Amino acid sequence: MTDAPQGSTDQRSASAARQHDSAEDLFENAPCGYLSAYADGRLARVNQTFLTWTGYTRDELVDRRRLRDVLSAGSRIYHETHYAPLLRMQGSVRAIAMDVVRADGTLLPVLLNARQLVGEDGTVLGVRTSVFDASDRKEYERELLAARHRAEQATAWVTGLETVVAALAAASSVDDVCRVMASAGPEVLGARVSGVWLPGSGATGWTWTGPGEDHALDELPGADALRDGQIVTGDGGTGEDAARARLGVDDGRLLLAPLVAGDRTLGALGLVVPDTGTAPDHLRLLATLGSQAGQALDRARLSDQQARVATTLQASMLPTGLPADPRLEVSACYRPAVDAMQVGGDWFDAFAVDADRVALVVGDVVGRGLHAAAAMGQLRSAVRALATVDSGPALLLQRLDDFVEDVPAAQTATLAYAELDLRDGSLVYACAGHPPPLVVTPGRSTTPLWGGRSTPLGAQFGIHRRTQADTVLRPGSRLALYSDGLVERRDAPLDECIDALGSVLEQHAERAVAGVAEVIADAVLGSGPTGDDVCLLVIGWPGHVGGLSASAPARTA
Amino acid sequence: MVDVLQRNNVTVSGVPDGPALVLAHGFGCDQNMWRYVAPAFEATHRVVRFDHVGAGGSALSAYDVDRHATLGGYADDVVEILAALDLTDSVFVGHSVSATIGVLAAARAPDRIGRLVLVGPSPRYIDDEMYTGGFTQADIDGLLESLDSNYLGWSSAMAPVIMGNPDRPELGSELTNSFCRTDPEIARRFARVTFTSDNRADLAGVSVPTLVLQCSDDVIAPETVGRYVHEHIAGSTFVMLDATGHCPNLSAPAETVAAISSFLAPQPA
Repeated sequence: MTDAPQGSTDQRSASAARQHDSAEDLFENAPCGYLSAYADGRLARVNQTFLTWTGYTRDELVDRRRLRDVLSAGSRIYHETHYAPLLRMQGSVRAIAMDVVRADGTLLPVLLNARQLVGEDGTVLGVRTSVFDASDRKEYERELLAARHRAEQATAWVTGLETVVAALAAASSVDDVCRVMASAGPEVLGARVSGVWLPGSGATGWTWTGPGEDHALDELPGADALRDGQIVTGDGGTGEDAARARLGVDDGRLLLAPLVAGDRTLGALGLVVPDTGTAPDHLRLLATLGSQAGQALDRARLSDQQARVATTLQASMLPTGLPADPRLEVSACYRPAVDAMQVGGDWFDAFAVDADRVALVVGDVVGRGLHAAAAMGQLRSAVRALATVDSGPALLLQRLDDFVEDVPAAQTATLAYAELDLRDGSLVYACAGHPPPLVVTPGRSTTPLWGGRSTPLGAQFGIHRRTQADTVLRPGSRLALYSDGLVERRDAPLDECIDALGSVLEQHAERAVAGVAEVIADAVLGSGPTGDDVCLLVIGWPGHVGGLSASAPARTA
Repeated sequence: MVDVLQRNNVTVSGVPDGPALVLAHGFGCDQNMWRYVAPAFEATHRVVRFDHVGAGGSALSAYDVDRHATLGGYADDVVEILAALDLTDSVFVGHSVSATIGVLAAARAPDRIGRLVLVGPSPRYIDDEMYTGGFTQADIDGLLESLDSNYLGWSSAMAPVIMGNPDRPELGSELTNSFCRTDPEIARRFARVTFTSDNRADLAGVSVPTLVLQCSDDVIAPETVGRYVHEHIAGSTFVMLDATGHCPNLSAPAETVAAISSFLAPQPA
């Protein structure tokens, strides 16, 4: 009707269109439904469009029913609680979505616009309502709502995944990783059960780490697919039944995600999720969780293993027999770092050089973990082998410089080495980059031995001269060798810390030597965990006369 | 300290030292529901209107998912309003779900509520074996879907304008359906607590004079439900209105006012 009619045929049809556009026809066959109601809501007129859409006959509606009578129950409540009050208060409402129940019981989503007819005295005479088919809009809205739901879900997943990844990064043991994954399932994927199956130690079966009883399995369902890095969605099979029975769940879906590191599957994350939890998005998320957990598991395993080995190695290489001689009292203390992975290369040693002289050593190999522990072992043996009767400290250090050229991990190790003559208390010593030994003399203040200093091992840069110094201990004196863990504080310079250690040694000078190293370490460090290894070797020289035996049982405290 | 009067957008009109008449709106709208009823009492009463938290001009931030998960939480709000205004022996007129909220509030603060007017009350909307509330769980789910469809056009950006100026509807007049808007999430929750609560057992605890106003042909609170309420509140008065639908306060304010006035009038000895 907006186009200008052209030609005689067009003119005729235009004329016909105008004729058909009578008010009556416009009402009956308008492109929208049309309802007129009395003040009490009963329908007074209903147009053909509405009847066609809904399948009602005119007689079924006019004078018999109200709009609300053909609404779905939910829409009816909405009509009574929102639509009708709004119409009263505003005189009109626009674009309210409702569901009309058709004659055949199906629903027609509609949009309603309505206007009240009000008499001059303000009384309501009736209501006119136009009805638009909103099927398409409804579909679109459903899609919008679904899209919004998916977006909210995705946001929640990303947040959850971030949390899990952060927790995995902080997990340092296999147990930690399994614990993280046991809580990740419920939190991120809404799983009811979540845990990790790892291959059993005897190469058969699968052990379970997760909530509930021990859910160990002989066979993991879909083990071949898991080995290929694929998620197993538990679509049946005897293995699945066994797994479900083990977990004690009879509804929901069993999902297994491979814990993948590189091209190896280290285990499986097992989840029981609601039936709706197996959409492609869920599975993608699950795969990501599996690979994150796999990598974390790989790291944790390696670190568990290294930590175990390092601790064992370190412990095995510390001396078990210190010289037993009536002319000498020895007390030693070794504190490994709290975190097993932080095991360092500190060591102490004391051994007889000849019948009257004893060698005292405290050293520190740079670095931590397995390498440091191994290097410490080599260096400790080297010190024992190279300390000959006539070498003395400086020559020993030169020999060690040569030695560490072939042992890179031992380079830049530091070392305090002293030889004490038990007959007269004469002491010859050298320090390769190591804190100075402390001498506690009765009636005098504690003195650091600052002589005989040179650089750490292997750091001589061609100048193969090591120095040494000597002093004489008075009878009743004590000598302390220690590693830097005992005197390194972030909040104080090194010399203050050395002075502080000296004061502690003095405070405990009256105490018997046996066990004093532990007491002093406690006093300096507190009895809590330490972040670094600590070694302390305290020897007392009473100044008596007697003989030295080299391999008697330990008298360490 | 919560400003209760601000929280519930409390408006007070009428005679400052007159007897208090509290008008409480039901699910779906706000205190505007009383616009045709309130003026009739302003010459004789101190008329108090308010919006439940989440509705009209209330403070949306005061909505507490736990507190407002039960009608008891709304009753606590009412008691706090009455206390803030220091009302005693007031007439509490509750429409729809607020009728139930009034029953709970009267039990909590017997000194503050001296009479109850229950307009279209229903203590339980969902049918069970021995009781016909008029709805099934599926019907309530359908309502929640209706709420979702109709709130797609709700814009949180417009909320402050609408919420902040309930007394100046012209500010919202360019908006479609500017009354009765509320945050969709709160509306859903309020719908759920309204239509799934069961407060039948609380009716027996009512000890104040009570008027039950029942509309003809009310699909939300059918006559059988109104009579159930009447029968379970000892000594209550039942009045059947000619008004149809669920909102006589809007569709038949004169008849509603007359029924309440008659209930409040001193009874002949």
